[in-house]
Amino acid sequence: MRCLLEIKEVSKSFKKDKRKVKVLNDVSFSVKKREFVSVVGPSGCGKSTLLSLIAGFDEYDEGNIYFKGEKVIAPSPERVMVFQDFNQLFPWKTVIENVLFPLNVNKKETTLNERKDLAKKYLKMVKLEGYEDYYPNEISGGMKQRTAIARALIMKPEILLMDEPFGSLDAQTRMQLQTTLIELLEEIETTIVFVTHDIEEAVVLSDRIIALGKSSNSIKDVMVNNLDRPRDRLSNKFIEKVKKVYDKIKE
Amino acid sequence: MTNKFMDNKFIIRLFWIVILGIIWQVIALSEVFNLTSFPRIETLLASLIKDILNGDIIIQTLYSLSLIFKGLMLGLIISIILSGISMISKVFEGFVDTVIAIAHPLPGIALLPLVILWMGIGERAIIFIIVHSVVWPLTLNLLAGFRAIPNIYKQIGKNYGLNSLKIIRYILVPASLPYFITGLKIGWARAWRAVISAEMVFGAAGSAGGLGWFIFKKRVFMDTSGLFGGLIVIILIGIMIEDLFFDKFEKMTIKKWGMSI
Repeated sequence: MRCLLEIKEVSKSFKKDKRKVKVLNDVSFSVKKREFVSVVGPSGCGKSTLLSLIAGFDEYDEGNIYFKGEKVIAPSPERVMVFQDFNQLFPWKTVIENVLFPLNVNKKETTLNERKDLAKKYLKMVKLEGYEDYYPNEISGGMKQRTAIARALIMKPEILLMDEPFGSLDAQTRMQLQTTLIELLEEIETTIVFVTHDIEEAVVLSDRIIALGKSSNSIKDVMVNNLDRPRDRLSNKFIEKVKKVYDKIKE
Repeated sequence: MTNKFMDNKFIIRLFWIVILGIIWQVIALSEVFNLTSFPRIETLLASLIKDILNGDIIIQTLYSLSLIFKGLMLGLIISIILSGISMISKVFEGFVDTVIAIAHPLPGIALLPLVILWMGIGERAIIFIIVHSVVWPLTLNLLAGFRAIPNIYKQIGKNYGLNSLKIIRYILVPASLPYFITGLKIGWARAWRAVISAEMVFGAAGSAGGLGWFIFKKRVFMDTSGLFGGLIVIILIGIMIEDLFFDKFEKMTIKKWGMSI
């Protein structure tokens, strides 16, 4: 079977002070449909760059990225990104208007009421019932990220790209959002590529963990994570797994 | 809470206006200055009411405001075009930057003699001055606004399948609203001052003449109370637009959204 997403020998460098700095070096992996893959690594290992290449925001220098067998050359609503930045919501729109935005601008063949019902359904899924008419500056960071997830999911993307979406949240809120995301996985049929520097987060969420190294800017290891769900963060197996991933990454 | 504060602010204003009025009246009554050049408050108000009732001041005010409105609209269109093209073309961006650097420091009133030579005196010349006063600060602010938009907004727009036009319409324009309002405020303030001065120099050429001409005429006829009436109207309109209209608009939009710069 062909994979949903295939990354083949991708390299990317940026120019800095007339010098080429390599951020990704010969990276290859693939993601199957409905799989949850996390990419972990220290700051500067190129994990966010990798995600932005998959989204089609940036061009890669070498190699190929295939999505459903076709080369990725531009952004598409089939590959939706959720960012870390709380600013990703439009401040001039309420929570529900933000979620409605992708539907409204694409004007699919539905009435506004149908679209509103759909938006409410997704807001309920991310546990934001009752906050529909708040503006982003009136809600907390965690709620903003929930809204952003609802806005991304309403497009029914084939693949959801998440770039450290919980990275700016406090520990407790972060765990709450992780729990919500795990619950969502049962309701939606989306493939997820999740970038994080938090190893515990990767272990609690994903089916497979890709470790990127900073010095090499390439893949150090790909680890299958088949711990039973729901995962208990305090179980020995869980802690062992976290340790194993940590050992791979540290340099 | 906010309402109470507003009331307080209003009461404080009123209190000091009354105090200033009393001081004024005391000076006038003491007749240190000639009563014709320093009239009593009741004479002043009576004259203002007379000018309002016979319609003089209203027509001239409306005329000035209509000129500003035309100038603002024209300036707005030009600014949007200039800043829009600057965003698209690097070459044009340099050109616009240079033109702004040259024209922006030039007060509208300094251009008057030249405008009179080129266009004569009349409505067209005044509108030219207004447009000059509005276009540069507005373009500067629009450009600053476009440049300040987070890159992430454009990425989100592209991600959800919007084309360039839709990205401008649905994302870039609302996102730059705080800068747009700032530009409009500066533009308005400059236009309002420019129009009063231009009208005083041009007189009533061709039509009713505006507020500037109104106070100029009053001076010619030594009607000090009438002159003060004109000044009061100028102050009131300034307060209305700057404190009430823009303030209210900001509260309804960028302040509510937490977007103030």
